[in-house]
Amino acid sequence: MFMIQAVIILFTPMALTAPIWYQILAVNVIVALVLGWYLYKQWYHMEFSYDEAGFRLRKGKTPTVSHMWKEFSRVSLARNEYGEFRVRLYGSGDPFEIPVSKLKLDAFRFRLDVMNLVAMSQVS
Amino acid sequence: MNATQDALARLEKQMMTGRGRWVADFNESFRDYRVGDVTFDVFISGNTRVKGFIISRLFSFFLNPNYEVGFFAISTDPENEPNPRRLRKWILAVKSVMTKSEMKWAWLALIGQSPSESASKCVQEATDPAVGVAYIDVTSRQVISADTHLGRQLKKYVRV
Repeated sequence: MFMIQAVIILFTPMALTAPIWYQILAVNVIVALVLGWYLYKQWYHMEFSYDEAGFRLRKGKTPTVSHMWKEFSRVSLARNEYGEFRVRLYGSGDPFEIPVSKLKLDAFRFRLDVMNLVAMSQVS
Repeated sequence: MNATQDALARLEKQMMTGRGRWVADFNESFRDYRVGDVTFDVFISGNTRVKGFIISRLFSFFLNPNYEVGFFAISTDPENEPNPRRLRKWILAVKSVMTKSEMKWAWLALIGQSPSESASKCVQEATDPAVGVAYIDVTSRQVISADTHLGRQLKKYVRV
């Protein structure tokens, strides 16, 4: 959309666009804010909650994923190539990852909390 | 958190985000990692081919070997001080993980307070070329390393 607009402005005589430069800028800022907010909510916004029994994670508009701590037996802290930390939970199936850096949690401390929760769930 | 546990936490962070990254991409850390009847307080797996953006990735691809490596840490106390038998058991546990994960080398850091002379001597005499051993004394902030290349390297990259 911004590309199309840039091309239109490029080929429009300057005399026509010059009086409305500020209006064009304002429209672009508003569109970018609205579109950015919509895309963020649609794809990137994360909702995470947990208690002694389990946790729920939702990314964007995808369905909420929920697991019980007792489904997992081993916990690790993994770092990807962008330096983001994830708490990796190993159970009987594929490992599940909680994106702690994206959730703005203290990765090292949260991993220890998760380890305690997993250990407690194994006992009960 | 006591001094040893605090040092362990700092060491883990150093390996994953600090100085350790100059040596290898230590990217997955386990706490209380059990191997047979040995429990390592920290085990971090990594690879010597450091990842990054375009230039570092290219540099790493052409210059660095693609080795799986590991970092193990175990806390010691006066009842659990390193002696030849105990150290051998720990090294064997490290080596069993190395075999399973096809690691080329590993570091074993022992963390404790004021080691006895026999414990220091035992660490210095750990001559396994594939496992670099060092004792980190939290009290004096000194590192005693084995007289091997990996041991000396570990001493260089660890800060208490």
